[in-house]
Amino acid sequence: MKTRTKNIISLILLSSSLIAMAGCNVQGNGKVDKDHLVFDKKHVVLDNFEGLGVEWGTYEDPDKLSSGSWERSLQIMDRLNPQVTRCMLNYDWFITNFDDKYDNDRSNDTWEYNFSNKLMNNTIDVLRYCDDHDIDVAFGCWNVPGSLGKDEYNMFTDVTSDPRWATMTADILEYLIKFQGIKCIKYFVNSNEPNYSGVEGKSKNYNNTFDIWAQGVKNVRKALDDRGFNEIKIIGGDTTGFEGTIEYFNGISTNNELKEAVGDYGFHVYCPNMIIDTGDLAVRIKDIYNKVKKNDKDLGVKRIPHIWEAGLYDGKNAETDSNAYIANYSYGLRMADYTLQCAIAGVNSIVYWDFDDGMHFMYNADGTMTSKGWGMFSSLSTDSAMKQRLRPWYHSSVLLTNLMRKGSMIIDNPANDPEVDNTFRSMGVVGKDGAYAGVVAINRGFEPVTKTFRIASDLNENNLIGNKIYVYIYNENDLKIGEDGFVKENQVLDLSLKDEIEMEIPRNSMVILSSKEL
Amino acid sequence: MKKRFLGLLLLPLMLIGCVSQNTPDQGSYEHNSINKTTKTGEIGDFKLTGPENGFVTDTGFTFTWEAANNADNYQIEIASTLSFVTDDEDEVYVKESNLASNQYALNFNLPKKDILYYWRVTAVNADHNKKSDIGNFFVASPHIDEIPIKIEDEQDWVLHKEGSYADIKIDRSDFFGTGHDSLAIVFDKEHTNQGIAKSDGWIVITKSEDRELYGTDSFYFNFYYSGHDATVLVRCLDYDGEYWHKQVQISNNAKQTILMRYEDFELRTAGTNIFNRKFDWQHIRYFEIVFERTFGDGICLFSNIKAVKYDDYKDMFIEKMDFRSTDPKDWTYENYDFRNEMVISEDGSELTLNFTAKNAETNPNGFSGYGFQNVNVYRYFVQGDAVRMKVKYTGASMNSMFYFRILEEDNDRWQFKLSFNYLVRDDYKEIVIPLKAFQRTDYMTGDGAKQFYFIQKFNIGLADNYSTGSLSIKDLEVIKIDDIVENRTRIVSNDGCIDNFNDYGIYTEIYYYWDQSTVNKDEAMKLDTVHKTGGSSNTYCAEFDYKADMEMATYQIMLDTKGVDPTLNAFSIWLKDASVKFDDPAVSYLDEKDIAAEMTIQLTMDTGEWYRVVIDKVEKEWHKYTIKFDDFVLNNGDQLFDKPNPLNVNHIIHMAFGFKYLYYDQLGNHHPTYAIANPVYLDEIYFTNATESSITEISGTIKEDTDNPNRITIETMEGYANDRNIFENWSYATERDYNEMALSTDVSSQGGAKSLRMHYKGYESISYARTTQFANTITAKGFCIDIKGDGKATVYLNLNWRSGTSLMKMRVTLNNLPTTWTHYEIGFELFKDVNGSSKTISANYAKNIESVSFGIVNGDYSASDIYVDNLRLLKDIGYTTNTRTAIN
Repeated sequence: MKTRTKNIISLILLSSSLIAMAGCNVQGNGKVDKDHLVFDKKHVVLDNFEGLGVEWGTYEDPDKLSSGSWERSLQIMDRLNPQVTRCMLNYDWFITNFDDKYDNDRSNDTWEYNFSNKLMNNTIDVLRYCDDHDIDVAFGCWNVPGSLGKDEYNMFTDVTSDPRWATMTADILEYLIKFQGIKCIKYFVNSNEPNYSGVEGKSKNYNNTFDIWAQGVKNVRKALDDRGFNEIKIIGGDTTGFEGTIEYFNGISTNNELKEAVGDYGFHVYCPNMIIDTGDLAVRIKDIYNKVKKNDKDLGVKRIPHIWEAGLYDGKNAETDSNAYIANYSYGLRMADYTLQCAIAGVNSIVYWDFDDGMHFMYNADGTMTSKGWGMFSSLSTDSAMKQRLRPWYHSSVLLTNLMRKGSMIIDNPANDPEVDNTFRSMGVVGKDGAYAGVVAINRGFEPVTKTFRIASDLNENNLIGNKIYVYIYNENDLKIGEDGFVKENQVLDLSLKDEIEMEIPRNSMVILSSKEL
Repeated sequence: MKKRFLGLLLLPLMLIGCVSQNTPDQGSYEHNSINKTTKTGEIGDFKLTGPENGFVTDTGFTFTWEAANNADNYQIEIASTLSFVTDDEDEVYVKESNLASNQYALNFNLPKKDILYYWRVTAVNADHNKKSDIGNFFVASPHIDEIPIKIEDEQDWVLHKEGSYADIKIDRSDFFGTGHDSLAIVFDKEHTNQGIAKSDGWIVITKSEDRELYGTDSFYFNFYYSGHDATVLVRCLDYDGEYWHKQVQISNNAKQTILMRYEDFELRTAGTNIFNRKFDWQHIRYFEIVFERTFGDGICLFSNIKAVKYDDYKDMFIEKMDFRSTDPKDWTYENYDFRNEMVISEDGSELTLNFTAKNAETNPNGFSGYGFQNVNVYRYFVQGDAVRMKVKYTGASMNSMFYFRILEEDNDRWQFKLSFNYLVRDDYKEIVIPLKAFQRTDYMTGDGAKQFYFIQKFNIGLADNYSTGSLSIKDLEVIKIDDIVENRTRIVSNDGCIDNFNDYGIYTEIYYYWDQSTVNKDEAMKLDTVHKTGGSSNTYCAEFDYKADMEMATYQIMLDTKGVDPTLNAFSIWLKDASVKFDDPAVSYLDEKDIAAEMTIQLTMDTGEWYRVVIDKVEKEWHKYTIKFDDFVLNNGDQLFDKPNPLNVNHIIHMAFGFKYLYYDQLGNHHPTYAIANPVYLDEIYFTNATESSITEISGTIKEDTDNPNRITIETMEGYANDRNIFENWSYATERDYNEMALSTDVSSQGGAKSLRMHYKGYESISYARTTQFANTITAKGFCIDIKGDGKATVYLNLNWRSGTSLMKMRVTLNNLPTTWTHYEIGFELFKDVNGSSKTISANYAKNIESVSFGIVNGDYSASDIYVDNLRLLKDIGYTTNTRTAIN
């Protein structure tokens, strides 16, 4: 109930931020002041942010992790300190002794589960970590069971609407929750990117439609409710691409029964650089938001928007499912910009794709597998040392995940309007109950710019912001790495963000001013 | 806490103008500025402080260096090259920049081990940088004993779709009794033999591993295979993307333990990428099980796969035989129990089998003819391709045969045999037996394929011995031929001689240069004196065997042709096929002369071209095949990037022969017989000059007489100019110091000017033999000969006749030889197998008589002579004819 109230507030605030630019950010002549940036209550977009996170699914072959590399991965996860993750697996890994009784009647099919294998062990390791670290998990299955060349379970036709899918889902969740005592699963992913159907022989999803998926959601909802898992929300979509997402969101928002069955509006965005660089991502997200809002007044209240896979489109090598730019500083800067734009557009949490190269693999036609290079590092000790080291975008992500915590407020600024300046964006963050504050400033221009930043006093009512400012600069020259290999502050100053802080933001850089150490 | 405080002081903070502002709606606040801290100017010298050079580690540690004056941050570089090469995937290079302090903890894996790494630090500020000296440290392999390649679940093993289908399951029944699950691979010929050339017989199962194997040197696993013929390989994709494989030596239906050294893996070159040609086993990316040429049904289990240190398992393997390693009480024997007088040296390296011809309580018949001591081994051959030992005999019987047999796990028994003539009485002689040179025995109850892996027993013994003596074996060990033969490439002489097989001391030496395939399962190479042609100067020809209805048996040799006369433009070889017709009603319609090998000859150039020629049917009599280079056909044109070069003798680096024969029934359907032991004889392999390709018959083949087609004359002795020339066709089949053959003018009235005098002495049988190579067309029903005796000799007249794969001694005993010339005509039914079989020589198979030999004894121990002349086969007598006619 408390959450609902806050979300209503955020919705109102969001609307206002889109419509009216007021306060000190607007000069007397009506022009937006893009040099003196104040983050105040009027521009709070979200007042109960759910945190940032990363895809951290079941390692498809935990045997690849050599001695010590799992422990190293956990240290890296500790420092990233996410508050939401997405954990995906395949039901095939556990289903055994499947018997279709040699008939077309699926209701009499029987199967068993073998949970005593490395994949379930690894899944449980991941989920227990999330339990221990208060991380909300979106848990799901990539696709219906069966291999591309052989539909062993005869599920490719009906896909997730097949009633056995709902049963398997409930069975596996029941095992995890009731038998293993896992508590962190808050969302269920009713198959990955269902709007991407592909073609028969290359995709198990080739026959999927929105209606089929919707029926699957309803089946799963009932199965979960029947088992007492009412609190687990089903992700509304988990779609990819703007067009497909709009189709699914429109379908959800115009179908009352379905609206009640899903728990969010979740989607994936692999964004071309140009859209990020020009500030257009925020505009597009807001556009989707507004379209949904017309049909679903509970958007942002009962059903909040999430990005469950966030990444950059440019640099993607479809053959290897890797990103060629993943190790560049620019990748980190763009992902930070992406994060900022999504947050000020009202997205309640963002899950980066992905944590570790060692998790996911491309399965080649010749039976071989190649790791997908989208991670913040590689835990594969057989990878080159350069791949194993922490990539720059890990460091930028560490700063953001540690600043944009669960329950925090996200504050927009009118100067973020691309019409005002599409090379510079900033965002205020005030921690839950005003416990800390921070400013994220991203200069995408080719020249340094000098700005002032201030958290308005109406966001510091409890006067908890404090008198320290930790300065973090993210660019190739100024990032500071500590002796432990993790990012550290460039400066610590006895200043306060409640005062106006003037600073030159280097070109193509992100600067974070935080009242707490990140 | 202290560090942070200091850092704070050191930071040149520029807090400019703290101006208080007041706005009514926003409350009061100050204005402060933050200036980015930037250092400029010269950077002071600094030194690396840790680790010290040469520091050895197998785990993470922290680099430290002195703080440099005026440095803003540091960059550390770590590399496997002193020059810090950044763009070589085979080398390691990593850089971490923007380090805020003068230390850095290494917490990831440096992928190469057991090498020296270099590191340096660069101090950086806004406009200067300064490099440190270069330090080094050594990253050692972790001390890991064994690294499992886990079986786990079915989905961990991926079947390649391009190959034949196989069912992959995890067998959790503890099949091997080791407490481990097994990977079970089941396939059937419905899938492995679908008539799809691309996929048939080829199954690949991959486990993606991405694993470091530092500290190990071998793969270990339990293995079982039951089924039709199969070739199983373990294959790894190594760090730089090359596929390396090693064949599993299958013992059908046997639970095996396999140990494979990485150093024995071979690079797969067909259709895969080649990079550094080095097995980078330190990092494997895939562990694969590959079936090749597997066209039938089969079930295969793998279990307990792990990377291990060979030394930890070396006791399982034979390197040097210790005859004390098993208890002789448990040994068995054949025909004679040597253990009563057996001696094993103190260090276990020497075994002496003493035997006595006298009766004894334990050996009631004494040593009579043959005996074997079966030495328990129960260990593995693992790393060699030959057995080396020293052998010695004592006693009088220099005509005995030494036997060394190996009983494999699947109960196939293979043998090597050697006449005592080759050994040295009372002294050790070293012999090397390539494993491929071991030959089949009649005791082959396994799969008939040479594994030489788990060895149950060595059968050590001798035959053809009736006297007292000893046989000693010493320093028996498994070796690699490469370790004893410096250059296994055949140097072709200036006149183009590739091989005439005359300079091998023993047939096993062929294997030093020639290699043979294993896919045909009946490949064998021998030296032969019986079937050779070309006179006494030609010591040996070679026999290369093949099995019918199998894949081509191939034999190959590397050539060094740099010194060959560059004008040579052709290839020549002498060939004689002796393939044996299989006894099967479905193929009985075939004429025996039709059963002849198809032979493929391939010459490979150092520029990559493969040139081939195919001889459809090798002639049954010795023929010289001369093939101009122009008539060879390029066989790999589609794989060449450049225009192919023509065959040039100085660029030929490799030669291969292939032999095969497929049986078809009368309807034209392939009718597999799998007939074994089909020999093709080869000799005089040369590069030569020729104006055109040709096939010409070589003299020496015995045919019907031109003046009498019912008569096939073997020998009249008229063609020999002197006694030495006799040995072009005749030989001493036993070694006696009184052996003597000579031309004689004492001739029968039918005999022209010369006969053959055979000297002999008393009780011990002497043996003289005349090789015969009959034309494939001849038929005969009996044999005739003119003999002049001494009134006391008994002559054992033997026709050594090949029936199928067996060489049978068909004998007539001639007693009471007259002292005058006498003409004998004897039908084949009177020649009886000395081993007691009821077989007789039929007219159509008279051509398979390979030699005529004479054993001669008398009862008074005296020296004497008999004379022979005019040896012939006859068509126009009866099988039972038996006449003796005095020659006037």
